[in-house]
Amino acid sequence: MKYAYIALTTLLLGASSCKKMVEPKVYSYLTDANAFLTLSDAKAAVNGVYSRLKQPSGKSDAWMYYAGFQVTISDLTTDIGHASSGGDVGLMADCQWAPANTYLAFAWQHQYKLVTDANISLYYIPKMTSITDAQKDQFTAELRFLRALGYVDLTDAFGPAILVTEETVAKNIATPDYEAALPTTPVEEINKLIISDLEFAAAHLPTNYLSNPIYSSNDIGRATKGAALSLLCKLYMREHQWQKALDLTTEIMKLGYGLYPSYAGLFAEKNKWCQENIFSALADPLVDAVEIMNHFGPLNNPQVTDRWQYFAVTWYFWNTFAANDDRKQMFYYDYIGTDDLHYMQAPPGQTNPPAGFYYMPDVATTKFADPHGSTTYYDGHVFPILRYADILLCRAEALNELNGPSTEAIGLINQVKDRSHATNLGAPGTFTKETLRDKILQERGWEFFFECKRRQDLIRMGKYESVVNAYLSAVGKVPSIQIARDKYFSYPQAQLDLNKSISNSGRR
Amino acid sequence: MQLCTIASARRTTKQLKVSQLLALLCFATAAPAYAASSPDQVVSLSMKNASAKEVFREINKQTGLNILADEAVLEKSGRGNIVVNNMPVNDALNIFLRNQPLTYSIEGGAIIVKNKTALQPATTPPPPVEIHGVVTTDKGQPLPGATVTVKGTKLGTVTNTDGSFKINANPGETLEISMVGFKAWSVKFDGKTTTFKVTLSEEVSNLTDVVVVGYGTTKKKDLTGSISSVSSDQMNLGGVTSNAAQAIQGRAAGVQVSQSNAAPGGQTIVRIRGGNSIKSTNEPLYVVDGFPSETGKDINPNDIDDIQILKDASSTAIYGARGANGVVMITTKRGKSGRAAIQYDGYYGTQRIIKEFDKMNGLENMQVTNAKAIEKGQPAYYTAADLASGRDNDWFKLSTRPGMVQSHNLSVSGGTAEDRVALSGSYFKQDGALKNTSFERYSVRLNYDKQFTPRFKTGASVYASHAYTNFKTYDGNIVPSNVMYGVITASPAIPLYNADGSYARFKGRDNPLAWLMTPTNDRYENKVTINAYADYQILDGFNFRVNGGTEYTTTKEGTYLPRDLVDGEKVQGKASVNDVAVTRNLVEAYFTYKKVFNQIHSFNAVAGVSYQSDQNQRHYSQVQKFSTDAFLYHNLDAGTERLSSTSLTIPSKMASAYGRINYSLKDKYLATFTVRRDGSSRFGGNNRFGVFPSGSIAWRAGEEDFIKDLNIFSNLKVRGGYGVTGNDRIGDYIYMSLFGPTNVSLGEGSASYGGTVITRLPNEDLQWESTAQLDIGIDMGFFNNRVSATIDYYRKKTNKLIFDMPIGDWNGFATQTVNAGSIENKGIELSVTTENIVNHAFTWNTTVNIAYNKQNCLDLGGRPYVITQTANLYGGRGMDFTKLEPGRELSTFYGYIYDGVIKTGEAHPAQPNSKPGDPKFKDISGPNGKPDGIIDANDRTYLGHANPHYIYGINNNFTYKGFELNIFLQGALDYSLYNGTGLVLESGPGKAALNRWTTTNENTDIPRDGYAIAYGGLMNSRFVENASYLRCKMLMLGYNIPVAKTFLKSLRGIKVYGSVQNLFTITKYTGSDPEVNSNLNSSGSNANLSSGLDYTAFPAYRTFTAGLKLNF
Repeated sequence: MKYAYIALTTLLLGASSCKKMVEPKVYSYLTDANAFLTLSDAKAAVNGVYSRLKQPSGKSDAWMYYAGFQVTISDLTTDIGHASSGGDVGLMADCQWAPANTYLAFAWQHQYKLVTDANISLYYIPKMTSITDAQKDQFTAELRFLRALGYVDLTDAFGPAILVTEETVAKNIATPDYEAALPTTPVEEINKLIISDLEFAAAHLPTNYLSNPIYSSNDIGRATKGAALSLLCKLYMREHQWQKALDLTTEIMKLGYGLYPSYAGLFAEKNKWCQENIFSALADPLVDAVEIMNHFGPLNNPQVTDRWQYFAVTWYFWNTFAANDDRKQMFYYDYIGTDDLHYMQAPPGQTNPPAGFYYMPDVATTKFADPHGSTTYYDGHVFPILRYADILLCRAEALNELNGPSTEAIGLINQVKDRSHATNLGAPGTFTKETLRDKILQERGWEFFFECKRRQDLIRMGKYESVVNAYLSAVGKVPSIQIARDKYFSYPQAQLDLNKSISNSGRR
Repeated sequence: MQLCTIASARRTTKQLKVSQLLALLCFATAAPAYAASSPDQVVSLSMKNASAKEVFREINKQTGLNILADEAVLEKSGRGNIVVNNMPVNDALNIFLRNQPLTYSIEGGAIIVKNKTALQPATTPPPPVEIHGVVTTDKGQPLPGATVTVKGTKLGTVTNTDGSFKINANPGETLEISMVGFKAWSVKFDGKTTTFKVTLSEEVSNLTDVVVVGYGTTKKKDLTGSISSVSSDQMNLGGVTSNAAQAIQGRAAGVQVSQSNAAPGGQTIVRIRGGNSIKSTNEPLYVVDGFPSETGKDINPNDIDDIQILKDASSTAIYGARGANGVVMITTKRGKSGRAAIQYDGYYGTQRIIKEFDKMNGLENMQVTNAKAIEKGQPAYYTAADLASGRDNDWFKLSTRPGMVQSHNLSVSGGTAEDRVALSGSYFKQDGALKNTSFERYSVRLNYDKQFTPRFKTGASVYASHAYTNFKTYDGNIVPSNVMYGVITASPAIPLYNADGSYARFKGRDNPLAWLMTPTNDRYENKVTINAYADYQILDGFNFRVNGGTEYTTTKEGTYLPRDLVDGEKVQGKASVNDVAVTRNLVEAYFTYKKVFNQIHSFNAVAGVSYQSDQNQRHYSQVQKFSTDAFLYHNLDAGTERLSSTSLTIPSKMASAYGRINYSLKDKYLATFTVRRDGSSRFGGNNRFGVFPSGSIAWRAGEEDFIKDLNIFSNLKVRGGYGVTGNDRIGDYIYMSLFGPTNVSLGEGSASYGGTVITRLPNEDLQWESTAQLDIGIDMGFFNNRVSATIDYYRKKTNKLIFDMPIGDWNGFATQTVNAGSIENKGIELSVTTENIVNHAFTWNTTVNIAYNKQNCLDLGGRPYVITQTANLYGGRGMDFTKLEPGRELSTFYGYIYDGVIKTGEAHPAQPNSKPGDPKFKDISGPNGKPDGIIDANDRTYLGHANPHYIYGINNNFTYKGFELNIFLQGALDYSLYNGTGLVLESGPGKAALNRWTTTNENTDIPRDGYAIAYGGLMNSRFVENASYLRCKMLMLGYNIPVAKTFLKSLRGIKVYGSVQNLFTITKYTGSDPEVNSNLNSSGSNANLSSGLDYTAFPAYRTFTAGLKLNF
């Protein structure tokens, strides 16, 4: 009997040291061992990277990056966007940000999320044995496009950034060092990666997904050849490589894009896709709903109810629209609220409204709060990232920069104006290169307000300091933009604190 | 076989014994037939004055039976005459040896001769004598349940209800009578006195108390570690305690108990000697009757016999990887042999809100709101009709009521020496002081023990409970579902009901009462724990025990948002069901060995293994768009829009081996060594196993003569220990590279495209947090232990913290879970128990405990700091709340220094866009550490810490004849709370806002319109308040009705009592309750880093209780 106990104990002692007894079993997640096995896995991995365009830190964050918050760095920091709430968002709108401003941290975090998720799939997918080379090329091209988009945004905001690729993933899998303090890479070097990514994408992506051999449905949300060329065009524009940009517009214009007949219709929530869209962050109220409407929608509006008017447009900018311009009507500028007050702009010189009136501090746009759209908390507004009107105006700008005002350039601008019934520009002879550049800048503001373009347009044209300071002075705020300092944002304070290899000198 | 003859029996005794056994063995096997007939063989003898030797030699000749005897023994015998004829051998020997000092036995064909004194009563033992007696206390009361044993035998009994007993003993044996709490009594039975009147005197010292430690028990005097004990009579004084954690609040030094809010069924958290972890939970391990249970504190407190709180590493190391936060050992009541004891214990109470919020009345509120709007260039919020309406709704009064609490507990216990049973059933119900909140629990427990043989016993415990909570949320972002946010901030000027009785809305929003009353929030919790043991005594002092058990808990939450609310109307009703089931299976086997060598070396050893396997399962569904509100959440099919459907299965496993040796020399010098090796599926492949050793020594100096000669100490023990324990409760799979699903729309319609995204970076090195703890303690007793004191000093250092290390985002994550950094907790604990007055009529005793703990973060893995956010007090994005950096403690507030209001004409260039009436913040720093002329995030600083440095409890018990009075004071010192409720009141409808800045009220510190401006922030020094307090936690007056003198003689006792909980609180804190802690929700890390927020909590209340205890 005694021996039996001893035997039992020995057995149990032996067993307790046996690793198998405490081997984990995973039911509800995938691991690196089974996440990349089949064609379907590869597609899911690619799809997942698209989801990072608007839910970078998980399913519930339906407002980040291209679900709206990108405007905090691209539009609120200019003469166009405004946020009347206090705190960090107010500081962005007043051009009073500091390195600790949380929106800088959001931008950094979510742009990198897109880049790194693409990197992870770019590491695993080429290793897969169950898919064909053609499939690998397609997936790789999509992923490289998405990564390039992330890097364009990162370098727009922060200039030199930390360059990570699928090789970084490989290195960390071999010898994990996620805490490494990596240095930044100059913009020119990052541009090289962006260009090679986009050239690869342009070479391997189809122009659309109608009867595609790999994807069975018409996937309008995926990257295409046109998207890759357009993003590359935007990059060359940023770098003032006008001829290269111009050549790309020529190629893009062969791909069958066109302007949508009505500006309001272009932004209708139901209009997920049309001939004008080149690349968008799609959303659907039932699949991957966003909170764009909550943030951009009007206050106490009887038609679009229960929205916050968190991000709105300045009256200063809205007042620049001509009365005949359709785009002026893309705003909730005058209405009787649910509280029976009359919501409107304060007449010049007045601050306190008479009984029955509400003077709005800024004006909400219908662009991301379609009056005929969702009535629920979440909505399905599509956020355009690249659209054809942008390419037309880029071409006009490149032409002007290369050769000065021309009939073609004026024609391109008027094409955009015509769609909104705005008054056309006159003959090329009435402009100099500089005055036409100003006209293009103004047109781009009217056309692309809240499409995350304004800050880059101002910087590219050398007008960031003058235009924004003029606006700040006009509304009684401190004109605080200094282009040498503010061309790039500071790296987020938390990043500076944990990474001594990056420096903040000359920024804020 | 030479030994078999007398002639060759010249051996030493020792050799003979060995030889005898050999001989017996030979005969038994070689000649069974012969052996069997031997006693019937006959002899004929006729000898006079013959020696025993001669007689045996003759018998040997006649029968052939071998004689086994020591010659020396034979020579001692006298001579005698014997004349028998054809008489059986044994009869003949009986005659011859009748008067000789010899005895014999015939076994296996041999006659074995022995000295009479050395023998067992093999043939006809003298019959034991029956002894009667009565055991009473020194006050003359009969003492039932005392153990009566005969020393050195297995005989034993228990005294009856009248104190009487009956037992058999032989003369010369020692009778022992003992009972816990009394000094043992013993007497050597002389065979003549057969009736005893025994008086047991109460033991003043509790040194002989048995303390439950991991895998065994020990006597308090033998402890070398730091353990606090709370007995059931300390816990069950008569106030409302709905769980075990509440029962120990203030009762044990160094144990901090707090509640996120006082809501019925609300969370309670326990910290032992400060928190060790940043990310992992700092809750102790709960072990109920040997079964480690995550929900152990939630059992019916009436079932608890005692609680031992294991605090230092020496005590907790036996629980290895789970011991770092301390271990709370809960022992439930088990049956004792004796008459069935039936007990009813019940109370009924009412709960009244202590403090209401100071809010404006309706008209004031409308005027201030309008004035603010006009200042901002906005239209008046309230119309002239509103102003004339006279609406003035006190939302707080409308939302609260006198709460009700009741508890009924019926238990039966008793049994025989072999079978013992304890059975209890209980019902607890609380209707919260906030309307539409309640908690209800039914529970049953059966503890059964069976002694099959003196060496073998088994037993089982079965506990089942069913609880229902009508819950509300009190935390989170500013959504109206946070009911107290509505109650606190809603304007008294908004309407309550419509003419048809439905809840009124104002400007498209619901009023707070609608939010409190109309949603359905049900939580059902079921729990079944079954565990069993078998214990076999292999040898004296050497036992083998197997424990096994299963715990199954389910939590089901069902919610429904009805059309009564705007949000419900918009989505046509929204329902969710959340099902969580947790199964734990455990098997353990261990040996214990107790032995005293040479009367001075005492060993007590434990060695064993255990295997635990858990499985967590969750299923959650959320749907909306119902055609009717009738289904609530009971028919999700009826909702036509599926919002969410998730399921999750997470198993985890732990395999362990452990051992402990207690050694005591001369009962004065004690040593304990413990080691445990744990393997857990929660850790990375490179570090799946961990070893946790500890050692401690103690010196019972009070037993030394030179200490005794001092005549100061009646007890003095010095102890010290050091050990390493771990914390494994970090969640599952966090070391793995994980990928999870996501949905994205990429097509033309609403088709969902499944996506896979990485959700976690791998870290195969991830392992336990490891806490090294040094403890030095002194236990002292004075005046015959009427005063006893314990002082402990400890120093804990937790290394390898499980830490979400901030990383640079360029690997896709803002943090990576690693082992990094360390935290230190140092402290001193003192507890003193005094018996101030003891006489027959009046007793007064006092227990005081106070503990000091200072936490210090030593390192954050090289990273400079961690900033933690909490919900924004005004809504919107979360706000920075605390900052942790080396040199600071957890939950240290971090924000701006408030500097009053900007006055008209005052220049405050650091806030260029601010206007008069705006809050003003101090420019204390810039990016380079110097004031830079602008208020931004650099101007934040540390504003105070949320963890009390001192916690204390003072308990006084008085008895006078049948009366009992208990006064229990409890408190905490040296800490702050962030009065978020105060901030939102001052920013909105609080009375304080009447004194806000206006052009005609310049001389004030209250800003024009709250704190949300572009500079500074809501987190500022104005609302950091000293929260030190002293609270009368309980006042109880009871009376034991002297039943013996009444017609209720069949009752053993009746006690009636009344009590008040939270009678008064002395504090400078201006909020409603200095104990509140709004961020202590289920997420452990939230509680660690962002404690100290007072915001939208369930209001504190005072409880008046009347109770009855009946003993049959």
